[in-house]
Amino acid sequence: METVIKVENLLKRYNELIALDNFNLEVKEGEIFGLLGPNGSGKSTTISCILGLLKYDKGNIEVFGKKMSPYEYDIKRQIGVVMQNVAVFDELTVYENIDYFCGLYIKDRSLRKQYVKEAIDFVNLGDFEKFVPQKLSGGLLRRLNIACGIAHKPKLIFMDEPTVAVDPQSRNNILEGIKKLNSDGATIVYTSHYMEEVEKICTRIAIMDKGKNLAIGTKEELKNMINLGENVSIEILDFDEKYIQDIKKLPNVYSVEYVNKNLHVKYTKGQRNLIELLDFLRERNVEFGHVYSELPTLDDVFLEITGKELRDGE
Amino acid sequence: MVFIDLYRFRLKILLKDKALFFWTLIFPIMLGTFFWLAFSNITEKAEHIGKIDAALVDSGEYANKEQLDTFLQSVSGKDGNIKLREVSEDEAESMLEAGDVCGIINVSDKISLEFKDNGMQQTILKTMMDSYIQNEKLIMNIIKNNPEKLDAVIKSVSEEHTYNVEKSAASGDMDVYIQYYFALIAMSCLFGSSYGMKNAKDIQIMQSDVAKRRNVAPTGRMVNVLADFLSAVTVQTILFALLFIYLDIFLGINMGNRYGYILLAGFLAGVTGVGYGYVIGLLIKCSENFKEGIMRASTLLMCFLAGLMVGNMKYFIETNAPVINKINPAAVISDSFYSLCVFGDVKMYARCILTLVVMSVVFFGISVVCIRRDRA
Ligand SMILES: Nc1ncnc2c1ncn2[C@@H]1O[C@H](COP(=O)(O)OP(=O)(O)OP(=O)(O)O)[C@@H](O)[C@H]1O
Ligand SMILES: [Mg+2]
Repeated sequence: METVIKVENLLKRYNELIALDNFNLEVKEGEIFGLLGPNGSGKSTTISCILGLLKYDKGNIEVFGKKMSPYEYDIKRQIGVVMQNVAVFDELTVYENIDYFCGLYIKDRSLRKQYVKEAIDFVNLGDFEKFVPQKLSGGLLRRLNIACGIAHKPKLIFMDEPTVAVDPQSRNNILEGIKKLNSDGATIVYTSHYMEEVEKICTRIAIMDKGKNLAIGTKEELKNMINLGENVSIEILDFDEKYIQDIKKLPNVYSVEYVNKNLHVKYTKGQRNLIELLDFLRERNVEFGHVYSELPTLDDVFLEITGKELRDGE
Repeated sequence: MVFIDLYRFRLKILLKDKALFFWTLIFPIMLGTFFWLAFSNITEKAEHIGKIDAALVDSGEYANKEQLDTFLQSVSGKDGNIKLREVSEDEAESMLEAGDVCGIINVSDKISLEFKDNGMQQTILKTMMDSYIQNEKLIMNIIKNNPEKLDAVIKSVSEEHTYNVEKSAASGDMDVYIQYYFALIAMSCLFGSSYGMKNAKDIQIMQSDVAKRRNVAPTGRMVNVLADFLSAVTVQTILFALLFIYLDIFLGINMGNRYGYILLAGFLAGVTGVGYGYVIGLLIKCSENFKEGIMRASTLLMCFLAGLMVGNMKYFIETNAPVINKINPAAVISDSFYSLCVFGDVKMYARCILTLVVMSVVFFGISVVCIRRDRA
C-alpha cells in the first residue's frame, strides 16, 4: 500500500512552547488513521503543519510522495479538510457555502453542481439548503462543516474532531459517513479525544501527548502493548477489606481497589479470571450485586503509557 | 473556481452583512436627514442675502492702517459684498441694536468684531476679517515689494474663504451647509473600511477559520485577495452612489451635475476607505471588536477634523495646521467634492484625486506585505 502522508522529525514551537516534539507519522492509502490525544496534545497543530497552514521549525512532510508546501496546488486539490471549528460563512446559505468551498477546488460548473448536490445528500441537509448557518442546530452545523470539506471528493481527508458538541445520534451518523467515505476510496486522518470513536472507526491509531507520538498501531496492537486483561467491577455493599490481600494473590490479578461500594479488579492476560473471583467471594459468603466485566480500552492504554487519564476533567 | 464566481460570492457575503450596511449607508442617511432638518430652517433665511451691512468704528490707532483701508475698500467696493459705513462708536451701537447693521468692525490697535446675534451674514463678515488678519503680513510684504500685485492678492484673500458663502448668498441656490454633507460622504466612504477589515479577517489564517479553509484550497492567495478587494470596492461604490442619490434627489441638496467626476471621487474614496480597513485589520493585533472600535473612532476623528460636527473646523485647521488637511483622508475626500461641486476648481480636484490614489496605493502596499507575512 502506498504511503499517503509521511511526517519525519517534525518540530513545531509556539514561542517557548514546544507543540510538536520530534513527531513522526506515516499514513497509508485507504486507512482511517486516528490521532488520539488529550486537549492541547498537538493534534490540530500536526494537521495544520501538514496542510501548510503553519510553518514548522524542523522536519520533513511529504504528501502523496511529494514535499508539501503551501503552493503545491496539485496536492492541495486532492485534500479535503474538516476543521475543528465550524468554518463557514454566516452570510451564505447551506447550499452556497458548500458551493463556494467546492468551487475553490472544482472549476467545471456543472460538475460542481453535481458534487454539491451529492455532498448535501451525503450529510442529509436536503431540507436545509436555503438555511443560513445561524438557523442550524449544532449537529446540523457540524454536518455542514463536513460537507464543505468533502464536497470536492478528495482522496485524502483530514477531520479534526468533527463530532465535538454533537449529540450521540448525530455522532453515529457522522461516524457512519466517515466509514462510507473511506469505503469509497478516501484515506482519512481523524483526530479525537473520544477514544470510543477512535476505537470504532480507525484502522490504525497514534496516541499523542504533549506533542509526542507515544505509540502507533491497530487498537489490538496497542492493547497488546500494555499488559492488561479485563477490568472487573462488582457491587458489594458489605465488604471486609481484609480480603483484598487474598484477592491480589489470585492468578493474573494486577490491581485491586474497593471504592464506593464497588470492588474493582484489573487483570493482566489470562482466562477464567472472573469465574475464579466469583468462586472466591461465594466461598466466603460475600454477598454481591451487579457484576461488570469489560475489556481494556484505549483509555487504559493511554493511562498506562502516560500515567494520566485521556480526558482530564471533561 | 472562476474568478468571477469568487467575486460574486464575496459580493454576496459583504452585501449581506447588515451591520456594515447600517454603518456605511443607513447611518449616513440618518445623519444627512438630521442635518437637512436642522439646516433647512437656517438656509431659508439665508436665501435673499444681498450686501452685508456693517459699521466701521476706526480710532485711527491701527498700525497697518493703510493696508487695512485698502482691504476694506476693496471688499466694500462695487464688486465687494459688504456695505460699510464709518460711524462713531455710539452710533454703531445703536445701529446694531436697531438691526441696521449686522455687526461692528472695531479698529483700535487691534481689530475686533461685535455682533448681536448669529447668522450667515455675521459668519461671512467674521470669516473675511479673520482671513485678513491671518494674511496681513503677506499683504504688507506685497505692498513693500510688488505693489502692482496687491489688488490680485487682496481679491484672493477676501475671496478664498468666503467664496462658497458668498456665492451661495448671491445665487440663493447653493446650500451654505453643504460642507457638512461632504464631510458626511467622507464618513460613509471611510466607514467602508469595515469591508476592508472583514476581508482582512477572512484572509488571515490566525484570525478566522474560514481563512484556514480558504488557504488549504488550491486557489492562489492573491487571487482571493483581489476578488475580495474588488467586491469591497464595488459594494462601497454602490453604497456611495445610493447615498449621493439620496442627498441629491431626496433631500434636494444641490451638489452639481458632474456625475462622472463625482463617481470617480466616490470610487477612489471607497478604495481609500477599504484600504484603510485592510491596514487596521492586518496591522493591529487584537480582538475584532477592539479593531472595529479603533476604526470607528479614528474615522470619526478624521471626519471631525474635516468639519463633520463643527463646520469651521476645517477652516480652523487650514489656517493653523494645513498639513493635516492634506493628509487627513476625510478632509481630502470632502475637498474633492468641494472642489468639484462648489469651486468648480479642476486643479484642486485633480490634486485631491491624486492624493487619494497615493493613499490607496500605500494602504494596499502595506496590506500585501502583511498578507504575505501571515503564514506564521
Ligand atoms: N496559535 C497558537 N499560539 C500559541 N500556542 C498555541 C497556538 N495554537 C496552539 N497552541 C498550543 O499548542 C499546543 C497544541 O495545541 P493544539 O491545538 O494542536 O492541540 P489539540 O491536540 O488540537 O487540542 P484540542 O483537543 O484542544 O483541539 C497547546 O498547548 C496549545 O495551547
Ligand atoms: Mg485541536
